[in-house]
Amino acid sequence: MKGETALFDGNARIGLRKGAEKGEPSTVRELLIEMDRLGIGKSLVWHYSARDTGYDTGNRRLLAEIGGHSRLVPCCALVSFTGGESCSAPEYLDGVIRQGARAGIVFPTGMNWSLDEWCAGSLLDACEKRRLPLLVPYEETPLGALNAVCENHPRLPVILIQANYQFTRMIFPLLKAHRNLHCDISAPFSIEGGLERLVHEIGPGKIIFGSRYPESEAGAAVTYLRYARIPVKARALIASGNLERLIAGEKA
Amino acid sequence: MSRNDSIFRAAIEGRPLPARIIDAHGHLGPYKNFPMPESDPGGLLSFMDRINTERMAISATEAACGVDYRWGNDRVIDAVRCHPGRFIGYCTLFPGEPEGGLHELLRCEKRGLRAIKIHSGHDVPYDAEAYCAAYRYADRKGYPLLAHTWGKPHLEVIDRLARSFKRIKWILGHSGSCDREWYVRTAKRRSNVFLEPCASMARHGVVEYFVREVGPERVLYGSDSPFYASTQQIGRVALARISEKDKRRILGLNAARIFGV
Repeated sequence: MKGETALFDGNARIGLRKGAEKGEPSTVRELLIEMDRLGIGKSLVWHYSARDTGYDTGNRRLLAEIGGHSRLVPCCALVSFTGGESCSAPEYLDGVIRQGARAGIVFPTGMNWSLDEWCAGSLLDACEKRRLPLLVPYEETPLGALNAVCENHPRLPVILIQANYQFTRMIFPLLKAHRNLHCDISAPFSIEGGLERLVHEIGPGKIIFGSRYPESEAGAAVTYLRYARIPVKARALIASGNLERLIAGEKA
Repeated sequence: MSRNDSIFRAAIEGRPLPARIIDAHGHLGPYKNFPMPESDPGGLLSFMDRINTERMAISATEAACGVDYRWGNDRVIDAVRCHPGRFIGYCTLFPGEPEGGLHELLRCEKRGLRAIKIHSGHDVPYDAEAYCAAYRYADRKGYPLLAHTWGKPHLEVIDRLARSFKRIKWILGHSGSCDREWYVRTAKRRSNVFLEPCASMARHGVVEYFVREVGPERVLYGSDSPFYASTQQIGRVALARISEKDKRRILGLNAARIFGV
């Protein structure tokens, strides 16, 4: 089988999504069925209620529903912890990591905070110290702010997810500028030859397979990777190798 | 259902699909906002061959997003002529000039084009008088017409046009990008409406929903290549939770009937 490598999906979700069509999958069971159908071995998963209800509520639900599952890796939503929350960023991180979280995801625009250093400095320090990969959805922060995050925290693995295919003139140089910045290929990063150009411009070691399931069809991301004309080793890194390395806490 | 079909297996493995594939929605030429190195005929063909796309129906980016529609349509004419059997050419109408409607359609028809593209990028409603003479002519001929759509506002207009021009085969580009139930409603009301669901977001369940609600004969595969990756969009059909027979209809048999190829 050409280029077949087990896939590790870096952008999967469970829970009810605000605005979802009737019947959109939401459960762990449905996720596992789809993973089996498409040959996805593992998924990094966050819970929609962590974004749409409250970070801690959603994280607790996530950890309760998938904690300890061999194929599902928890990704917990994080905030700046600067609004009088009952614990600090380091305390919270240590707690969720103990329960199996291996990455964090942030929604600063949607949750009324900022990735700027004056607001998120302590959170980013704590993630960096723990080498906890941080997923940043493209629509949640200006690229300038992301640039500053990567510059100020060079050992923090950052994964830009859901990048807009229309902005490659900014995304590519940003990825090149920072060794610790990675990106995934989930929707709407969809442009003909885009994956090949990413590999050419930034190398295969910073690209993560991601599907945005269930909001987007995971099958679309699968074929985007499978049909890419890239070396076999590059495909293997993108399929799972890069994400495995990042969640293992290897240095960015 | 789907894991055992030959199309599914080929797609999962990244092999050319064992099916007749006609892509109903492609573009020729660059776009100012972002680079698309594969926007020339050679680039399009290289991706088509990867999947085993027999033909792609293409329109000129310039004619939809720019102003030099004649130059754009001429590039499409050239591509069709230089690559026999690989491209189907849409003549893109340009409502901003008196000669951009029927006159342009007749000019392109003389040069081999037998299908029409309309795009809202011209900021002219699809039911504007500027389009009507071309619609009347296309209706007499029974031509396919690909309309760029994005939800309910476009569909309300298309519904009326499809009722008035019953012999035109109205292909709704980006079906299900939003307001998916309105696309179904329009297709159920008008038997001459077809749904082509390409979208960068590749929303979950759109293809299955359309097959369930309006039937597989009314759904067409399209990629919007090179704006979107055909290698991504193909997965929405090839790996869909529908039968292999329905996939074959959507991938190419429906389009073959509509475009007469």
